[in-house]
Amino acid sequence: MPAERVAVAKVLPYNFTEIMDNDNNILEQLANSEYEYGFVTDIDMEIAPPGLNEDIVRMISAKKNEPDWLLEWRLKGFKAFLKQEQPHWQNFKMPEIDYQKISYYAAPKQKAKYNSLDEVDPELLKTFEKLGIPLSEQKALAGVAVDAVFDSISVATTYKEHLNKLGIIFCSISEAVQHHPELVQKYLGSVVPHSDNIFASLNSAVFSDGSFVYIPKGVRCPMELSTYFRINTENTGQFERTLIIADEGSYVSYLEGCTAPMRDENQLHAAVVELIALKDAEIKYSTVQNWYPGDKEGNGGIYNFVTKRGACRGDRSKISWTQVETGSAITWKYPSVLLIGEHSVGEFYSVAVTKNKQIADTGTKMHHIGANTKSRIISKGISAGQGQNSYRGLVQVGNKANYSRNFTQCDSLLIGDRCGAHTFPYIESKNNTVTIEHEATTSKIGEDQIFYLNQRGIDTEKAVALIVNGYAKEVLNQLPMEFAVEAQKLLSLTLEGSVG
Amino acid sequence: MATQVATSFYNRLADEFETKHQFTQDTAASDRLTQLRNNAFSIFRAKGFPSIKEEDWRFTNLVPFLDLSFDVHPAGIDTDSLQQAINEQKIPGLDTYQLVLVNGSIRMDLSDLPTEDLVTVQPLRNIINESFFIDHISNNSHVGVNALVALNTAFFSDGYFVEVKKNSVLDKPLLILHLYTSDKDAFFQPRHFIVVNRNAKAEIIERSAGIKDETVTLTNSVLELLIQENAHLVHHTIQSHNNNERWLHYNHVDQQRSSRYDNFTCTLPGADLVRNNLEISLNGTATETHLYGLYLVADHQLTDNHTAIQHLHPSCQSNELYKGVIMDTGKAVFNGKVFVAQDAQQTNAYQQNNNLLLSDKAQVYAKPQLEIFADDVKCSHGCTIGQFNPESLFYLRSRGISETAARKLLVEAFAFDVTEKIDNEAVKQYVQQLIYSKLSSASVRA
Repeated sequence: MPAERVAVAKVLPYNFTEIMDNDNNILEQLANSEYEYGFVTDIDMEIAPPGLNEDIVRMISAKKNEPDWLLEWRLKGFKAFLKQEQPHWQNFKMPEIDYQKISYYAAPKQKAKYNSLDEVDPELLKTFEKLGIPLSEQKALAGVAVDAVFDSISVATTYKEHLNKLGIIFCSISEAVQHHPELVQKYLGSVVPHSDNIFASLNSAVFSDGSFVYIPKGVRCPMELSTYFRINTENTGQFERTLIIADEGSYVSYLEGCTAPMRDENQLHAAVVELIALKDAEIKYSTVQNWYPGDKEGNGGIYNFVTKRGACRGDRSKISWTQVETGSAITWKYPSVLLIGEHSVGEFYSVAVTKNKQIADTGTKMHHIGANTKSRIISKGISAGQGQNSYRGLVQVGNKANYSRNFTQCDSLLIGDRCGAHTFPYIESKNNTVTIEHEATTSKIGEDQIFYLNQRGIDTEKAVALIVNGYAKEVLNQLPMEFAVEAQKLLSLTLEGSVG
Repeated sequence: MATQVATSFYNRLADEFETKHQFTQDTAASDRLTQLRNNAFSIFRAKGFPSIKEEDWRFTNLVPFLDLSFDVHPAGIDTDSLQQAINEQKIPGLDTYQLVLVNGSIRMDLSDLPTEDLVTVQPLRNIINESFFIDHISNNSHVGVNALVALNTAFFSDGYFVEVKKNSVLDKPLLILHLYTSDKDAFFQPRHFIVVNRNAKAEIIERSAGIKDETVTLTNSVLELLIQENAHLVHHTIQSHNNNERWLHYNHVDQQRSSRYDNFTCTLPGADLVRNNLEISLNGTATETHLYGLYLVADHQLTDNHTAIQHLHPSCQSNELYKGVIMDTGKAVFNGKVFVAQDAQQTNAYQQNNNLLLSDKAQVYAKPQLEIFADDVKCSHGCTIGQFNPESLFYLRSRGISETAARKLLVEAFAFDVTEKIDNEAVKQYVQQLIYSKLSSASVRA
């Protein structure tokens, strides 16, 4: 037999008969479940007037006291933004975005630097607590250093000293610009250029803040680094810029999670995340995204248009993306890996849940450039209500990427008869020594599975939650422990009063 | 017009259309037909030839294939060579009816047709002005979205119209031979129809060939198939061409309730360009569809298979298996789309695509695609790109088989998954033998 190594696309052992009546009730409840984290924090804000022009870009740069090269770079991004057109290939109707109605800068007025949490505005802390992110607790419990981004300015950075001792730089990107300009200048925009796509260009022009991580040679970061993003001011689009550099032989695990308050107006979130892994380095980037998805009718909700890309520059480097996407009206992102170094590894694990009228068009791109590179893609989509879930992925193998290997699995689970699941995998090879496998399945939760659990005294809601959690387990297992617990809860919560 | 490929050919076609030379000469075109052609051409004029900016043509750049000053009124049929070409295209050991078309027009004198009570065959130009025919074309939405179909609609003048009668079962396959010949480089745009009426069953084998090796032929053909209730059509397309042939095929299948359609598309090395569009609309419940494809690509050739299956009604089954072997500097594109509408519950859709890359300059672009709007479905696709298993090769080598022979054997085994599905023994043998003969030793070598 020739060894094209047939990936026999498997069919999940689900039963495809009519679902029970009470399931329908549950489905309705799913459609009805409301967002639990909606509230607006009342803190004095300094807000730029809405509108986008060169002056705003200059203003942001001036406010942040940035060096000239960065202003130049922002302006280049702005020019690229003006030249670009809205993309039209996506699998959803693009909402009208009036870039002139967005305010591009907002900062809490109390701009003091804090050394301990006690100094932080108590109202801000309350917000975090309502979100279930007890900063103080986390500090003690898990040793997670939290660099909390509240709207655009970092207000608390913990565990900084401990990290400092190891030579690890973990700060806001504005701070990094001031204190480590050489690193920022060297790597900023080196993975996602300022002209990459319209949203990346916009971000380059007006990025407010974000996180910066540098792990020096040979250092294994002893704790999970984490930033909680939160959109707070109405009409303030968030333009985060995250830059993570893992120098030779280092390791870092970075967590990003977000929730946003309920509001009616759509908000644009166009972040850029750049990861750079040098020789023998490893970066693990985990996301739990639970932004305001809009109401049942699909009004309001966040547009989450993010450009995430990592570059495995050195040999034997590794970048791993894990994402749990449950929020946002529209989630549109493709965390990608450029596998340049030989023997480098890229991974993508994703769970995306859409309900009501939510839309997710997400997936990954794996560019195999160096020889002996490996990539693995596991994508699990769950659609409920009228949610639309698309997997769009690219696996590209160049002619120098000898003996490269890819495995892709993308499964879709449909709950209810008005949702949709779509897959658009692009598989491109210019090399005859590589092996690429792709498989995809679409199915619904089987009546027999639910019956089996019912029979053992588990009610339907819990049964569905159990099945969904089992379905997503392969991805959830990739998350760091604290996050995995949170993600599991989030998954159950999202489908609660609905399917489980 | 932004995405339009600006070629002199495009301009020439526009001039050609303006003069309306093409169709006023052979039929007195009715007003409706003229209207239809005008609409179709305005669509083509707006869209132009597809460019690589369009999703469906991302990997297939037509521009290099439109570079010649193609003659749109080909002349100079070389009658002597026709009979020889027919003999070459016949399938050994298979008794068939025979329908021969030369430059898109039926040649009754060279054909051997079934009796009228089984099948009626008539030239398309006979019915081109009939209102039912114009109604059909006007109501076909795919004319509007596909520039090449629009172009064909604007210009076509002839083709075949084959109708298999109600309740009739064809006793032997119908072999349809499309022969193209011209003194100069030529552009052909035939249009064909196949209707299989209720409870009928037929097997059709289509083959095409450009007879003159020294001239380049570009063919933009459109074939529409209607398979009525309970009817069953087995449709083979064996594409074994020579270089200097460029083929753009658009086949649209309309399947009614409980019908069955089996398609076998085998593309062997030869033609510079083969683009197969196969679109299936499942317009009734309980249909069955099987698509099997095999493509062998060598030299500088480009073979592009686009399939689309639209599941619109409940309880339909579709099954698709496409396998490709890409050699030398060949390039293969596979795009398989399965669309499941909200009403199409209890759909079973299965798709698999495997590619074997045999050279370090070969390229393959695969895009299996699922779009699902119903929840009670079983849909899956699998796609692989790979090479020989060194252990299989070693096994054969250790038994004294030369490396070249062993590689050939493995390619055949790879293709066997598709060829074994061919029920017709003679066709199966023929395709397997073609594969073996077309696999040159040089291509197979590492």
